[in-house]
Amino acid sequence: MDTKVTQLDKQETLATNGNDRPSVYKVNDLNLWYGDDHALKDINLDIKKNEVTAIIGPSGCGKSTFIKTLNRMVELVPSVRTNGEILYHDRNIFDKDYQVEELRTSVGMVFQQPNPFPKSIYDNIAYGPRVHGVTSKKVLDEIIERSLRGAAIWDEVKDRLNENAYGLSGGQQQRLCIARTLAIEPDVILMDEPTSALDPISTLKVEELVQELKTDYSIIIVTHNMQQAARVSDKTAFFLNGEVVEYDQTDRIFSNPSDKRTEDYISGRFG
Amino acid sequence: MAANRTMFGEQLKVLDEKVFLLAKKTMQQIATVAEALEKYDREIALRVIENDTELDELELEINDGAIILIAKQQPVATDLRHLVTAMKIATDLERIADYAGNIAKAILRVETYPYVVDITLLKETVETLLDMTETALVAYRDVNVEKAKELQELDNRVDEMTYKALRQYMRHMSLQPVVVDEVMQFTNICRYLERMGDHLTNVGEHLIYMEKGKHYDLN
Repeated sequence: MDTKVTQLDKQETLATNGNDRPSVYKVNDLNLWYGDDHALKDINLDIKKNEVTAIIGPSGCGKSTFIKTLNRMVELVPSVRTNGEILYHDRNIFDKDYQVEELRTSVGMVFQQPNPFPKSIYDNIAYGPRVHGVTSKKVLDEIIERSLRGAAIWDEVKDRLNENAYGLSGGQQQRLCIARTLAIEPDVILMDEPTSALDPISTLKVEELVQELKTDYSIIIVTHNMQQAARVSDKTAFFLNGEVVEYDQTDRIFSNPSDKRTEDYISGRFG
Repeated sequence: MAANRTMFGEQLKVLDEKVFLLAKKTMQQIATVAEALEKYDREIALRVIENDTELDELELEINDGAIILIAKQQPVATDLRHLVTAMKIATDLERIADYAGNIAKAILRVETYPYVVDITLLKETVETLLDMTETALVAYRDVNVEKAKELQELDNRVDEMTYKALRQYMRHMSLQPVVVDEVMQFTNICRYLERMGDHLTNVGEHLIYMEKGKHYDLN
């Protein structure tokens, strides 16, 4: 029977789209233990520049551990031990001479709960640049406006920059935290469930922001919300029990995943 | 989550039952219009036209059901493809039923009986189309890709037979121009039957897409 396959090639092209982009991270055979607990197992991922990469998986699958490894925050846990390598722009972040401060200047992070400092909106944003030695009021003003605009919150706060950041709504606080990250002009933004504490409208705003930010930044986002991963990301990695089960174009993962475990998870059959 | 998915599975089953029902009713329409053609029974032809409304409504019901499931359950991957496939199959079945209605109308326009042409090939085509509908139904019920692929071969037979019949009728028209109006109705019937076959192969293509997530061309 002469069955013609017409769309197959097109789909395969889709799956490899964006692979010509340079990598920001190349994770090679990464393993991580918390004491005896083997939390990440042989992780291999190639994360591309100016893309949104979503990390999904059930609780305890290692997704948060994974992104906290990308800026070496995970080392704050005393019993942690790793092997393998994470190349950030071709340099292994575990190298002895790699300065963690240098890494974290390039790799910003936004957390699940908005965590502004108990300071004014202005001082929240100015904090990072000041630490990095910026003292000029004019330069700081510019950074603050640019960062707040970048995080799509400028219009909402421009007339009350000296008010305490705690007076903002949860959604505004989260965008303020994103602005604070932008102020140090990072290369990568890690987001660990950035909208799980937000209402649907604020969530939508943050999601739109993610789309805008990827022009200038590479974004890695951990999310429990699979529809969010489907909406915002270019690629999706599905983690299960510390392993990467599948890593592919998001279009592919949500329309026709290769692995049955991915299908079962995204369809809500477990997790 | 698991409870929701069980509910989703049940709702999907209800939707599938409606698709099967539409397929069975479509088969019935094909068989009934074939009977009207064979016996030149205008009453039966009229019944086919009347029944069409019921099939139209069933198609809308399937589409509405699928849209509600998509909106409320936000399915992905196989679940989503399943729902989209159900909608597309319903559309194809409804079109097939429309063609049965068109054939009934053509029969009503015929004035001479016994017919001025031989309808043996048309009857054989109808048999193959009924086979195709049955095959599509089984393929959908069992999610059987190999069964769906059988539709291609059956459709080739429909194409051959309708082409042969059409050639016969064209020759008839050129030899006996006085019966052109009559024969035209039979050439139209040929075309409707041929299109029914195409829609049934579409059903097979949708099924393969549902199962494999890839587009196949069976036509």
